[in-house]
Amino acid sequence: MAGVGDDGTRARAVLLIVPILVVLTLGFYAPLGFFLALSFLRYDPAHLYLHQWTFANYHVVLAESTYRLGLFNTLRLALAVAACTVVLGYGIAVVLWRSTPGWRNVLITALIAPLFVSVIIRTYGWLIIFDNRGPLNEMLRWFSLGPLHIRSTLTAVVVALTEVELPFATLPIFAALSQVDRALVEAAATLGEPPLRAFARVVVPLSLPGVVTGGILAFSLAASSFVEPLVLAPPNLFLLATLAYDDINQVLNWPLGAATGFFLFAVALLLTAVSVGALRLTRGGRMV
Amino acid sequence: MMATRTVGVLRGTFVAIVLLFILAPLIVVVGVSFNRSPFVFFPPRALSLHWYGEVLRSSAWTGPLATSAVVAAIVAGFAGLLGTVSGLALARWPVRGRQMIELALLAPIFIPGILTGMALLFWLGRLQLVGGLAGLVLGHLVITVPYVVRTVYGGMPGNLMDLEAAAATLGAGPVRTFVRVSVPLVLPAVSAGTFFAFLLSFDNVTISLFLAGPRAVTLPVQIFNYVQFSNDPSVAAISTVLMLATVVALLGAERFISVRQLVSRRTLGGRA
Repeated sequence: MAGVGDDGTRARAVLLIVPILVVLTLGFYAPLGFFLALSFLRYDPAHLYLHQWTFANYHVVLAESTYRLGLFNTLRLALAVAACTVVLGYGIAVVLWRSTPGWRNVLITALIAPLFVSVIIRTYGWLIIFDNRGPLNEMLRWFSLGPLHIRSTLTAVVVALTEVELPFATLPIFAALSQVDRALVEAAATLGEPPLRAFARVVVPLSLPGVVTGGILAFSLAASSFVEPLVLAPPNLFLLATLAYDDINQVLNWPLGAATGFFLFAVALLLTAVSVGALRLTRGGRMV
Repeated sequence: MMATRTVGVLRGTFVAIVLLFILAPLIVVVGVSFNRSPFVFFPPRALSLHWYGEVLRSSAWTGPLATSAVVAAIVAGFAGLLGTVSGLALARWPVRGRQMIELALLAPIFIPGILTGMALLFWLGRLQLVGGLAGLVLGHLVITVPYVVRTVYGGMPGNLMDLEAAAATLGAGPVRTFVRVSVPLVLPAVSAGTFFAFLLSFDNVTISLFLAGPRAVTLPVQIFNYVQFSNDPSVAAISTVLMLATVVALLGAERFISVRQLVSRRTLGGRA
């Protein structure tokens, strides 16, 4: 008889897992492994790289002013996007949380529908909107304001990325809010807390894990984005992701591009670890 | 009473602004596509379908459209098959080590697309596979198959193993059990996952920008190239065609699968 833990079952499970492991090895693990190794190899203009191990590429990423500026701008951009999406997303999540199931469905559908449209199309939309003679400036002129030169600025990238990452920040917050026991809110009201205070003291602390999850998602997605910056950012705005893209495509310094890419990933991982740690600490301290 | 109404109005205004913000780039693209002039005006000054005709006649757009469709179809087929087999394997995996295997299969979701794209380009370069369909398919397969695995594994009935055991007790062999019991039980999740893999592949820019070459340009990459270097409403027209096709596909699929469930799983999981 075939049951769980049975030798035959186990053998079959191993057999069934082999194809995907082969594909992921060939198309994911091996490429990433070799790329990681490449980031530690010496750059050579004639041969792309030499078989000499070195930290030189990471040294460039950490020490050269272009890359330092890139790190600074990347952090600025990603933090701005995380802040905007979390603030907006929190508002939306609260509306979702308080609405009737019918409205909730409509709103969630509207929120996620744009996810099915390619990022490049939505970025193109923002490019049109921010054009010096685009609809935004036409509207401002109507009120005798402007013109605003947003096209090719960091602001344009922040706005576009906020729009793209908004669902990624909203849904975790909504998920956290959904788990808040309404009896707690009512209890606070019964005990004489005014509604806003009850919300701030009871609901907000309980929703913090969702805020952290959503914020981290938005941050790491924004930090590693390069399509929106390539279209909307000014060419002299250095970001780690676009620097890596240029190293590979224009400069053809592959080892440096690899080091930049892995450094970018490490920054996002570090920030995730720090925020999760901070969340644990505050929750532990408050005994929530 | 008064306060409740004020809150209601505030909430309505907030929702309206958020919806406008989310949909603005799409509305603008659709609007621009109906321009008659070769300039990008929004709202358009004279309405016309001129750019639709232009786009659908031009091989600069129909070629990439076909490439995207072919790549997405192949990717969806492979991802559906691989994802199903792996989802079934995960369900059968001993509890010890299951999380490790799961993480190994889902890892591509958590690595930034730019890193995967660059690494694949380097790897394919060493294998002399750059710029062709094979590279694109491999890249898209790797980033879409985890979503299928998760959909299949998550959408599986909890008592799948018991049902399989029952079939075996009643005398069905392993193959018959697999074809007649396991597959029908996971089919809804499989079709949802496969459909999703198609859409993800069709829309992808991040990986494709690295892997597309002269012999294989996908539609999103072609749009990217146009957006960077030229400025007429043809991009808006082809984008609108694309959005319309997606809406039709989604409405069609909605009858068989819960698109919403699919997406919340995707968004809660991570990257595009």
